[in-house]
Amino acid sequence: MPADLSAGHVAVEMLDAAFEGTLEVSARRSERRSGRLIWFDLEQLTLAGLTRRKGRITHVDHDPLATPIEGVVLADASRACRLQVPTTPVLDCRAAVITMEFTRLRRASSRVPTDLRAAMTAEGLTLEGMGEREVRHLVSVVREARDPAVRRARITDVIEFLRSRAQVGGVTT
Amino acid sequence: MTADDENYGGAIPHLLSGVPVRSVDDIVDLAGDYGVPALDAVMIAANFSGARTELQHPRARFQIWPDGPITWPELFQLILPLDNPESPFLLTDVELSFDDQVVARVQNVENDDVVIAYPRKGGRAMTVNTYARSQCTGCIFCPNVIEDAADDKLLTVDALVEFLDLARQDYGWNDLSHLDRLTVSSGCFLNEPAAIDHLILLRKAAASLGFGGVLHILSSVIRTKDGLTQLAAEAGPFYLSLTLECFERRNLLLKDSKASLTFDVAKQLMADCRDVDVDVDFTYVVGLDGLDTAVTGTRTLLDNCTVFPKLQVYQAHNAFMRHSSHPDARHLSYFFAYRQAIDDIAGEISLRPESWENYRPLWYTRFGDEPLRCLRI
Repeated sequence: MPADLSAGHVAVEMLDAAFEGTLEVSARRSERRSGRLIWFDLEQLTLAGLTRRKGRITHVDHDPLATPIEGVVLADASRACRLQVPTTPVLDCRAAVITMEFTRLRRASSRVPTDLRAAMTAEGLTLEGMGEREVRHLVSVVREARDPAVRRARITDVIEFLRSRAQVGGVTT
Repeated sequence: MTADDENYGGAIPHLLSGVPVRSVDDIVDLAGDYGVPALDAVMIAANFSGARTELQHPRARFQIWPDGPITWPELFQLILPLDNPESPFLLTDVELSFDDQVVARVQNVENDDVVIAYPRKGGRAMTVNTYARSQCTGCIFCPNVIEDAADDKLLTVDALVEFLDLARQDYGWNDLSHLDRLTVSSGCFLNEPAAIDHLILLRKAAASLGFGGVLHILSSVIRTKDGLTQLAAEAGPFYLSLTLECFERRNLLLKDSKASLTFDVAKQLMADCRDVDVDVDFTYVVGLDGLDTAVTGTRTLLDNCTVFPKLQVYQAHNAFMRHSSHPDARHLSYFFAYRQAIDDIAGEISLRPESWENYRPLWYTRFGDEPLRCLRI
């Protein structure tokens, strides 16, 4: 993730597709569609790949009282970004420096469910030392199981994995 | 699992003799025992073991040009997990090597994040993610939960038209009339009506931009003949890839909505598809089942397919995923033996793999005794 995103106008590197947070970019209106939508080119912003992100304009430089407004940021394969917002007088301008907030992604939780944690505790096992992505994966597999028997089987499988990991140098409590 | 299983020690274990594969020559020698061509063998080995890298991606997509001990005058698309520090393969942004021996030049290395559309088949097919693929979790083999994602559900014709039009502009197409396939690779719809509703909306949206080709979905929730009939009528021509993925341990390895698609149900559904003129195949992850089960199940279902199934090498991103592979499949020769068993019946079937349909395949340059000539990307 690029550094100094919040420091003044951004000399933006390519943002990770999963970026969350706030940044300032120059926006220039490029097109009006069907009288309902406005497109802005986001001149300093690039995202990886063809991407569609929800974003929110929280501040407009020449109109600090502008109401925050939700939009959609579309990045094309050349990585250039456009912001699409519903028509609003506040944003009906040729160019502006705007503050964009990228809303939080609905990412799978990495919080360990109570039943899995209890089983780990009983065995003296922890997830310490595992990467966040691996934890998220492991937890999602248990969390998704609703049938009690399937859930027990998955927890047993995770415990077996954690035991083998502990034997080859992993972590126990 | 033992410590030896867990630690490849910089080489790929050899199932039969226990002798590690330490060089490209070793891979080629081993593959020769199973009738697997050299290039195919190296590609399978890369898919199986992933790669180490200095790049900051958990998983990368890129094109490779075989240009080492084995050369080939075509580009192939490859997607590799990069989280295996024990892999003998090393990926940089310009080459893929095995134990310091360059095996291919690479280009366009990108983080394999969840994109919302991309072309295949030289631009004559497009894969779209219109229903938040990243939010689908619960299958052990799937890297979805690992990948970076920013996708969303598109729930109206207007939203779908807008999205498809963006893709059209992005790829410089006048309209979508040149596409002969639009594939939906999305988050799980959880139930059949939701999937059918979405596909009908997508057909309307795509048709408004000139699309008249086959609408294709990878799904496990379309289960009834009535549903297939409706799709054929309102979203057809239609093609279903049943996301079967494995034959054993389904409750353990697959999310609830997918695990309930049993082998017998899948077989009946494939017959139903043929009855209502819907093309059908299945997706299968090679490496989750014992070898006998894998071969028998694949051969049985192949008889019911109208398109060659998507048989993919299991890619483990982390130790937990490696733990979930079948013990037999922690060895490279498992994949060669599986391939050989399917090669053995190639002469009995008319279906052939297409490289552009599957970027983790077991066939690259030959299928059975025939050269495999097709679009690659």
